[in-house]
Amino acid sequence: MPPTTQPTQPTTPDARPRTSSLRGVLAERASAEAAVGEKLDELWEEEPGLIGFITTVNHKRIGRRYLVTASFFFLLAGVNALIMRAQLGSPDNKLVDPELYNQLFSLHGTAMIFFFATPMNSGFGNFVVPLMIGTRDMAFPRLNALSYWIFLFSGLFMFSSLPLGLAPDGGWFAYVPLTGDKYLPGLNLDFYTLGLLFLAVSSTVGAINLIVTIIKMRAPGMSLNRMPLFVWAILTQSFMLVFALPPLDTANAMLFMDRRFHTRFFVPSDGGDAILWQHLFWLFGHPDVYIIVLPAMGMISSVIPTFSGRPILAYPFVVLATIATGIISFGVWVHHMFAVGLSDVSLSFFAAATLTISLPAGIQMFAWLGTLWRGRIVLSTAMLYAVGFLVAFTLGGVTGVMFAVVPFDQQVTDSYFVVAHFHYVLFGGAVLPILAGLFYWWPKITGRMTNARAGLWSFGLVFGGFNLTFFPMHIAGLLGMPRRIYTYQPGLGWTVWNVLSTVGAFVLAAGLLLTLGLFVHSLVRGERAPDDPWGANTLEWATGSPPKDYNFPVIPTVHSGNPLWDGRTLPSMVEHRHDPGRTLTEEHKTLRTSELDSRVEAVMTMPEETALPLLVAVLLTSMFVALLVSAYVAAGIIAGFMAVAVTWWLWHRPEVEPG
Amino acid sequence: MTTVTTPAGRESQREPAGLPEAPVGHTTGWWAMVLFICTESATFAAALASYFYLRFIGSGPWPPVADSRPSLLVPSVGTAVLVLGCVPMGIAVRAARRPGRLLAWVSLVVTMLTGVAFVVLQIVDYRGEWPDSTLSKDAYGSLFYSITGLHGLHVAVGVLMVAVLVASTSLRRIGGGEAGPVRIVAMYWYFLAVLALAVYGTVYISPYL
Ligand code: HEM
Ligand SMILES: [Cu+2]
Repeated sequence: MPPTTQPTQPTTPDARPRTSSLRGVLAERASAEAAVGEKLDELWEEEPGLIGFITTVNHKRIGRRYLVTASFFFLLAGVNALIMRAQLGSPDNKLVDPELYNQLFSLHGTAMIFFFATPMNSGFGNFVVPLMIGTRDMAFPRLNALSYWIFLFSGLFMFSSLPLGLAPDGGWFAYVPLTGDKYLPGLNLDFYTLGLLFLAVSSTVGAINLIVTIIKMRAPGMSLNRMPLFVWAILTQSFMLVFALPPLDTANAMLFMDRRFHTRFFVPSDGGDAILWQHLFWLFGHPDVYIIVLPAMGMISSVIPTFSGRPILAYPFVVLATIATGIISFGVWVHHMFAVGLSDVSLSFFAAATLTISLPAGIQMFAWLGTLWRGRIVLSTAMLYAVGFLVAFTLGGVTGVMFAVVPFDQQVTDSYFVVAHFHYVLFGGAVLPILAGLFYWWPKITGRMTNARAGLWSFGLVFGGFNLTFFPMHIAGLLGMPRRIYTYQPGLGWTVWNVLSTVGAFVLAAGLLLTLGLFVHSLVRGERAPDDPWGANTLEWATGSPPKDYNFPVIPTVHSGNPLWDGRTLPSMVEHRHDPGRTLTEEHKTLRTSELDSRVEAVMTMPEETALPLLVAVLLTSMFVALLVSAYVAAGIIAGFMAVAVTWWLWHRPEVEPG
Repeated sequence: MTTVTTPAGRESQREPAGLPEAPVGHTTGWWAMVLFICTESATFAAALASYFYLRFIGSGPWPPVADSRPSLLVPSVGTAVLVLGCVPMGIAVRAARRPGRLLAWVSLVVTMLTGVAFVVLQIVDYRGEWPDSTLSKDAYGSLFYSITGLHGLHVAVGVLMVAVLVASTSLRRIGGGEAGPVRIVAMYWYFLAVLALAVYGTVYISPYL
């Protein structure tokens, strides 16, 4: 049978074919589903109800959970921020006392960085990556469930400290000696060290899973030079996690032992050294900025081509810039320590290294601008947020380059100028793109469209509120306002900037609430989404909205870097619809392909749903709780149980015991 | 982690759609182990870098006057045993690829015993060192015990992995041509040996230099 539809005009990469796709179901997918959909449905369907809820290993459900859970932690950390802003709204305010204020900013910073921004990206990675590369699940579905559960439990572990009045109170980077047991006794900092070690298990496992998925599971034909930029970004970010988390873990383990077992790592009088903490922390901390921002940039690289109707400009350069950013970011950590008193040589070296990192960022920026310049722009809500990102990130980048100038940095260090800078980078560089990504992929994730007019309001309020909150902080900082103070006296010239900032924070909160309402409305009342509502270029839009459990009825052959626009990739699903090597209908299976050029290597059997990941995560949680309350023997015993559970897990590999 | 045979009854074989006759290339499990080893290496790199950092940031003698240099006999034997354990592991990998499971089984058991011996020797070494330098006396002691202890813990995990392989071979689940899991664990085992040398060089030898 011939393919049911063939785009009529010959398609060059410069022209986006306007097919029926923008309305209902893609004709090619319909034909593929008709051939094998029913069989696959049976194979890939998961247990319904509660059992299914706790045993699922489906990357789309797990990805959605990541997104919901990380948003929930964003909400909690955001409430912390609002309380801080309310406190700083007027001089000599007594809304919160200094102890609580310390806990609020420490927990806010820690939670936003570790429990919101990074896992939010993992959520997108989880949901979108397997779809974008044309496979049926992650490489290790059960590990995927494990990393989600650990993320959830470690977040609850961390946040439970606040109602107990024991939230971390040494700042998000927890410098010793302040954070040693001498100055901050109590469980506050133990929640910090243990909570981060706990979360690191999830992040490491999740990163390895994403890397293996990306290098071994791409649809045939999707050689590395055809891989979407978002996938490149997630790949780079995951590699960064693999190498950046260990120094942080080492530091946290040392701090924990210093506090509990009186080791002497950070105690100068006994041969330890306080600056060691700073080196280890920032060896993680600077790469972490890009761990957060690179995937966000990848989202922008997905949104801009779609709504400009043309492929990204200078694709190879953007890929190289992404990788270069990842590598260089490991060599600049000392710029966080310019005020510590290190030698001039090392200051100059790291200042120069820091300046170079603006080059790859510049390359990406020009690629986006060029794409916009040459394109036919559609100002959807996602696109508005993407453009908002370009503006905010440029501003954050400019102040960032200013810090590379050592004397300037030493002048403004620990002032509100720094707070302004990193919120431009983190809110502007991560939250705005994440919102762009949410609006962009929402129809794919939920099967519903969002209201465009409400989207305009959402963007207006969030973007306006964001600038009103954080721009005045630059000025307050230059006027000498230090960060991390719970109040200030009138007459210092800071009041007006703080009032503006507080008003902005509430406008921002209103905008975010409106956005939440908009999403809820879409879920309940939204128009049904077609397969490919935006006329996009990447494979995830060749699946249903929301995608079927098996994602692709027929695994396509990818012919270009813009598979939905090349006029050949989609028809390949029709061509192969009777090819068992592509439909894989006898069992729970997907393809394994080669690392560089995606040649088919084997058929992989995928595991069925199981509650083992939840069990292991619960055991790990109880182990960390035991460590927290100094029940070390109990912790050891639980570790033993965990070893048994993990052995059991590895024993029941799907290759050995199919079905 | 190898996979099933090629599905039969393929009708159409266009373009690169076809499957290779037998599975080729590295499996996902192999890659996961490579990446796990990467992140573990980074952890040990951070720990060993901290060792040298703390040694050279202070100006006093190393080890500090209150401690004596580590004794070398027991740890040298332990490290040698662990490194030599790579030989039976290598034999096990080759044997698992061939029919018959006996050789694989025996060499896995020998490998496991080398790991157990290492851990036991480490405990013996600790008993010799303890009163002289303790975990909480100074940074030197903290580094000594935490770095060697971290490595010992890793070896214990490695022993557990090999034990599972022994059990799987006994139950005829692996071996006799099915070598995937053995290869993957072997990689980790070799990594443990490399780590042993790095830790040995840092913690035991470098104080003499
Ligand atoms: C939702 C809107 C947000 C508001 C209103 C806000 C507000 C604030 C305020 C008032 C501070 C405390 C400044 C001080 O006393 O020194 C702060 C600190 C901080 N914020 Fe935010 N923030 C927001 C979002 C974010 C996001 C999205 C991130 C990261 C992804 C983030 C990361 C941080 C960090 C790392 C700190 C430093 C904590 C510390 O000093 O230890 N914030 N923020
Ligand atoms: Cu930095």
